[in-house]
Amino acid sequence: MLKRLAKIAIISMISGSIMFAANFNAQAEKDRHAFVNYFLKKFKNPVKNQAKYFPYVSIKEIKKDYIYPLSFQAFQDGSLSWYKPSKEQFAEINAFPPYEIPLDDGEALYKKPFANGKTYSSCFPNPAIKQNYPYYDTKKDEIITIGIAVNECRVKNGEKPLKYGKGDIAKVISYLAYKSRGQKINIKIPNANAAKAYEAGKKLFYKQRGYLAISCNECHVKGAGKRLRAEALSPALGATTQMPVYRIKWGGLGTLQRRLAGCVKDTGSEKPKMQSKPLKELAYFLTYMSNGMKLFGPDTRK
Amino acid sequence: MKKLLLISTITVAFLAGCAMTNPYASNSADSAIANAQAKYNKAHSEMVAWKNTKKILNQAKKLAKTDPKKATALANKAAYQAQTALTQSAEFEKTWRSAMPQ
Amino acid sequence: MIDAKKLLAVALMGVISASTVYATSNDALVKEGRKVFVTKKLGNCLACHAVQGDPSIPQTGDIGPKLVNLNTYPKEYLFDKIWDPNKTNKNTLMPPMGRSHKITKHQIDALVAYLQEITKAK
Ligand code: HEC
Ligand code: HEC
Repeated sequence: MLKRLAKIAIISMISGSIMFAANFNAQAEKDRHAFVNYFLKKFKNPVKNQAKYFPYVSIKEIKKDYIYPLSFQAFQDGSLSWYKPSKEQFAEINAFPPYEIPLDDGEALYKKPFANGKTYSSCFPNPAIKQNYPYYDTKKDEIITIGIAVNECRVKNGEKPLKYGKGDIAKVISYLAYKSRGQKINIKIPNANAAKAYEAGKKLFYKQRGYLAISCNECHVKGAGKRLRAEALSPALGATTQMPVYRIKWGGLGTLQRRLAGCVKDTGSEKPKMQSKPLKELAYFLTYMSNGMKLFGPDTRK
Repeated sequence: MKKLLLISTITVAFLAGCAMTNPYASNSADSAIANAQAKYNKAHSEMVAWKNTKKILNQAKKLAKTDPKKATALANKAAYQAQTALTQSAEFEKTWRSAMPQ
Repeated sequence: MIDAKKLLAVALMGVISASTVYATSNDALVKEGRKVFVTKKLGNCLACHAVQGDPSIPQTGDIGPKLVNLNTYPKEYLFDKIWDPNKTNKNTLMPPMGRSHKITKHQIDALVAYLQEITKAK
């Protein structure tokens, strides 16, 4: 009798831990559903829901300038997804996309042999992989962004790592992104430490900071669909699908890490280092929120 | 003996008075800078430091010898920023989850 | 008798000149407040707020409410709101420009003077 009881206890313990193991993303999925639903509802009918979501925007302006309803995939376009004036302006600019030349450079870099004769394709035989980044490496116990993967490939082949954020690394990533167009973002949370990293990124996103005491959430969730002076604010849903981006302001390509570092600074905070732990966690969280969305990088922004 | 004591007391008092009132006394900015540095280090390690705090603190360090009065003011400004960053972080820690989409 | 009249006149003149001094200094304050309101490095309030009664302000954002009838609010309320809006609203989007010492107490007084003057129903 006692033996049997012990057996049951052990079995239930094991099955419990299996269930637990399968559920490292349970909280993240709950968060993601609420997140996606918020955006779909908010942009379903802004005229009807003006009082709830856009209390300080006039109905007249909504009718004139807003694009709606927005489908899940439509959020790939950032502020251009909902703001007609920007969308029209960028449709013109993208008739000859400014990212085309650096993208060609990226392809050339991808195919150019290293000193040892091998190329990037020795590490990324199939370049359509961006949908899986950033991922949590359970062996190294850290987040691997696509930039880190590119540099690891170089080091493995006896080359110097590239500087993060812009220049050659952004070009190579833009080629990988281009080859990954249409792939659906597929971020996983494989273990408890990955779940912790997700939670840390989530906090960085939602908690107010800096001398402005403001959060990403306030500008890109609550603020999405509003204007900060003349800047139409992009929804955080889909905010990583278009990376790397060619920014008119930068006059060149920049990676997600570069954009995130800049946006943390814009809250009035010390600028974090690219590929630092907090910034990787933020990228991990933010990309997870767009799971299931098709990639469309590189793209152009203001 | 008594006289000596009196004189030395007066001298000490005089010197102390000098140190307190003379803005150019050595080290007058150092304690303000040390205080600011400690607060900044804490805010930085918690990743909540503000954009310019380090810059202000470095300016204070540069001026510590040549213009201690200004250096002290700058150090105090840096300390204020770092402390406010820490205080607001502790406050927002209690409330940020309520701002998530439900 | 004549003396008393003279005295009164002098006194009146004193009051008048005092009030013109007051008016001009308030004008200066209002002007300064407007500058703080629209300057990016100072208040940058226009990034989020339109203002009733000041159509000369260039494009404004729409994250915060249009500021209207603020002359009906107590001065202290407005000062406190600008100093640190988090005190009354934990999840406000409005930055605490006073508490973070990005603008001075005097500049907030100027903002309050400007907002109360400009949003008066005319
Ligand atoms: C004060 C408001 C504000 C805050 C706070 C803010 N941002 Fe931004 N962000 C902007 C503006 C303005 C832009 C440019 C217009 C746009 O695309 O939204 C932008 C752009 C972006 C983009 C590029 C979107 C695209 O379509 O290419 C990303 C990603 C982003 N922000 C992430 C963040 C993150 C993460 C945080 C928190 C650390 C944050 N932002 C905080 C205002 C803000
Ligand atoms: C990032 C956007 C933002 C900025 C910048 C901003 N505000 Fe606000 N403000 C808001 C929001 C949102 C509200 C409404 C919610 C609240 O009261 O907290 C508000 C509320 C107010 C109110 C109260 C209005 C009322 O009718 O009760 C006043 C007054 C005000 N702001 C003044 C200012 C001034 C002055 C500045 C510049 C120093 C400024 N704001 C900068 C977003 C902003």
